[in-house]
Amino acid sequence: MPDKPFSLRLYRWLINLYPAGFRENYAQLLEREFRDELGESTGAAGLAALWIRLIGDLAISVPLQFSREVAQDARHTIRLWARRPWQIGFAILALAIGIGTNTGVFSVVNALPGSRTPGLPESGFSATSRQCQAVSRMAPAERVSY
Amino acid sequence: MPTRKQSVAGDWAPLSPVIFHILLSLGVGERHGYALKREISQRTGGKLRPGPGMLYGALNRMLELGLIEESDARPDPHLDDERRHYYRITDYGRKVAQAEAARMRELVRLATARFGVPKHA
Repeated sequence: MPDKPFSLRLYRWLINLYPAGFRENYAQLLEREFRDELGESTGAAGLAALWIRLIGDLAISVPLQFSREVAQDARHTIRLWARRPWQIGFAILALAIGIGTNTGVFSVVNALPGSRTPGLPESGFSATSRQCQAVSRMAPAERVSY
Repeated sequence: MPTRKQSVAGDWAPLSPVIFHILLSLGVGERHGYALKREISQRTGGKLRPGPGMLYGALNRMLELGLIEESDARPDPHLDDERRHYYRITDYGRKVAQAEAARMRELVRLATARFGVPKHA
């Protein structure tokens, strides 16, 4: 079981598990609280009991704080979107046009004769998407001979 | 600390046990985190012992909801650590606690009507 100075260092490190917003406001208070509890615990058994309680506390409170921060951020984002619907609309439109254009250009280039499937090396076996489609249309017996 | 637009007092029911016990303690007077924890532990016979994360998580939430506020008042600095934060209940917090107590009273009334009162109580 860690001794008291080590326990304090360990708890300081564990405080870093909390989200930054919570840590900013409460890191000192959490440490202060831990010091008080540490001062009250006597002997190895007391220290062990304190750490068991603390691990339980961290296991519940860290995810809870994260979920609260995420919910808070989501609320903030939705409020911002509601306040500037045109800007958000343009951003979504720009993304849609970008993704659509990219997909369209890829489909055209990919359909050209001799174009290779991306990701396959130049040398060795490589199949164009047309070849793949042709194979998929074949009966199993034909595929063997192909 | 920013407070969210306050809802009707009963909207937060049921309150978590830690939040309700904090409100109960602050109903008597201002307290800092560690004093709150000790008081809650004594009141519940050690059944509820919020750790630092749960306690300050609850206090943070209560500040956001406007149930409590930080107090600038400090006891004699020789008797107390200045780094401690003191909290006090707000009028809204008092109303929320009253609404929660009324909800519990109604539950107890219903349970008593259904099951009666145990003999050892």
